[in-house]
Amino acid sequence: MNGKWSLLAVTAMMAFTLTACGGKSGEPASQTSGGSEAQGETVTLKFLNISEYLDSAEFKAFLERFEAKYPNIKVDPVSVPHEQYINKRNIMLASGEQVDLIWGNGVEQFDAINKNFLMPLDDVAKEADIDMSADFGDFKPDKDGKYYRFPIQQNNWMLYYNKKVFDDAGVPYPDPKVPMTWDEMAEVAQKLTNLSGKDKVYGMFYNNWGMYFYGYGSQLNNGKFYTDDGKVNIDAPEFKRSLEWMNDVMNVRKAAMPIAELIQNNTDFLSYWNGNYGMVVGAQWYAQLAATKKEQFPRDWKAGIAPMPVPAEMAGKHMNWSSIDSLAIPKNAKHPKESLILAKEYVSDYTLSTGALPMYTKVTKDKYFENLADALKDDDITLEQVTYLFGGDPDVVNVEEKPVLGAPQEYESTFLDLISQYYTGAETVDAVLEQVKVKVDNAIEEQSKQ
Amino acid sequence: MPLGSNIRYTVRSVVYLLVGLVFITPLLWMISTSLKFEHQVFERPFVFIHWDAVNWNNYSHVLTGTDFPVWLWNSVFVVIVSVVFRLLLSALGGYAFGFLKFRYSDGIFFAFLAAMFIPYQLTLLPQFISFRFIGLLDSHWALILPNIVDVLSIFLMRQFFLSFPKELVHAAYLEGSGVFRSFVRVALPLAATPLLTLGLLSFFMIWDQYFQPLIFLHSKELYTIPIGLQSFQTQFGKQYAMQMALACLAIIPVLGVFLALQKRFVESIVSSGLKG
Repeated sequence: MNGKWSLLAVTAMMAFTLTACGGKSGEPASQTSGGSEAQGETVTLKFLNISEYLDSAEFKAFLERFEAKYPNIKVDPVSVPHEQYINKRNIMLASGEQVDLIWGNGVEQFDAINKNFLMPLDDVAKEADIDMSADFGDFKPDKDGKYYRFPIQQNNWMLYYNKKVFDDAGVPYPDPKVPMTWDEMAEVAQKLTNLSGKDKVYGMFYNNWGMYFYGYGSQLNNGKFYTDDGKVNIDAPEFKRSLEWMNDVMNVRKAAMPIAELIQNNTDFLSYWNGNYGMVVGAQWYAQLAATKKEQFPRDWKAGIAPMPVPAEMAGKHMNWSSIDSLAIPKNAKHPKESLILAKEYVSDYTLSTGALPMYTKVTKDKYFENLADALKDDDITLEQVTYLFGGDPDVVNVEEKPVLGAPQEYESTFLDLISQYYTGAETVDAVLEQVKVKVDNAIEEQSKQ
Repeated sequence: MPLGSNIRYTVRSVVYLLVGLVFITPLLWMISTSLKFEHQVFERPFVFIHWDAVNWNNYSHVLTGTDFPVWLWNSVFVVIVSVVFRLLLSALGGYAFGFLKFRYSDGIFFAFLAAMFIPYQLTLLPQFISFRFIGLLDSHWALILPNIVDVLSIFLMRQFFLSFPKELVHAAYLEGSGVFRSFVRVALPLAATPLLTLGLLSFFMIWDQYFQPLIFLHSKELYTIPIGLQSFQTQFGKQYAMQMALACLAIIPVLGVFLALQKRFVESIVSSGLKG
């Protein structure tokens, strides 16, 4: 009897295993080699991107439209959580796995360029009828005069503020068109701060991200994070002044949460929307993720937007920290031309639905601004303000948001590891910047040997 | 009760309470967070639950707006198949190395053990290439196969069989059983307790695996719970409230398994400790 039961159990187990053990069945791998849209030939593109873009209903709808428009091109999306995206990308590309199109932010794509993973797009762009020097506005070649990135969008930074905090403190709202200087912002932040009540109110919110510390310096020296010979330039006086400004706001005026508390509390970037902060410098993602999502971020206060603060030397200028998300084609892609067709459709047809403004100049932008203004109308934000701040100002001055050239990941992580020592008083600003320079210069040196 | 005993009892109770708090706090935070809005997650002062505005939407989003049922099924499937085969192979391997002994068995066993000291990261790329070569990439077999042969499990079963009474098996031999039959009929039933412990530990370990499914699976419909948990992540940060709602739902099967087998699990740990 036991033997029969054992046999039955084993049979059931085998059936369970064979029927359910997942593998993608019924889906052909890439069926042709070489880029071709010839009659009857179908190519399958493996598209590596982060989950937040590939897992959305909008992306699924886009894929349906794309495959209907290009019946000979199928897309096999590989969706990866952002935290592990680089690990997976590196393993897939280093192992020779066929990947036809990859997503990346500025740091990640330059890391891929430095690792020699990507192919230049200049020739294949001509085949796909794309003019890399004209179709994306003021977009320069990436390396050695060649384009490796197909730009999707660039961040548009601005000042978000909480009108209730301003009203409670009796402080007038920032001008909607003329930016404050950083010094003016520090003064306003101090006036807004009220640490006496049960709920502390800080005049300024910040994130533990590099640009919140060195971004003022980047505006001063036009994003010169590297010296002319490719070494680290973080010890330049402009960056030092930038870091000292933050120290003044945080530790002298007490108008921003001390960094130790910010880190210890694991303060999330979306915490700004709990209403206990007066101002924050943020990009369009604050509007995408929070300001327009009132069911997820319910609030009893109105938000306002104004241009990002600037150094006194740049008074009156509309400035922006530029960081470009892009698509790129790995060297082991089998179908570069079709990949670029997918990239072009992605920015033309999908990017707007993510709440971002594509850099591709052939996309009509009016609808984007209108939808955004409509979503923010309860905050008394106008279409004119939205157009001006969310990418519609042709005169905006863009400077690099962060270092992207030599050892960009090490640059950012080393900077953030060490900078808290300055703000907690353990080290001087000069000592910290020197340590960052030495460590990242070594990383750049190592990278150049590989 | 004498005064000294009272004080000792009180101190001991306080220590137990504190240790208990350390373990229960993450669980409570997880439940609390799962019922909040995103911007309330790290609020100060901390509020356990906003009773006037409990956000059940996190749960409804996880259940209806994600592939949670698929991820759950994939996790259950991978874990069950992996654990069953792991127990079988570990018992066989442990019996061979610990009881049967054969020529060069110790040498082979130590070579086996040496594999434990190779960092997993070093084997990841070769494994990825191998799986691609044999066509297992992007299938659950890429997760199951490396899990069913586990050196530590074989080592533990070997230790058990080293002290296994030889007389029992020899008696089976005398009654005409061969090596395999005596293993199945005599040794395996008596190894139920260590196998149960091993099974539970393996269940928890494989259930939590993150890196392997992340690297070896490409298709979202094959993802397991740990990968699903990370899908509430943007390039700027995590959506903790939804992530915690999913985590609360995901621990239900694990808790169920543990609670169902808790008594035997604790007994087996205690008895194996006494045997030491």
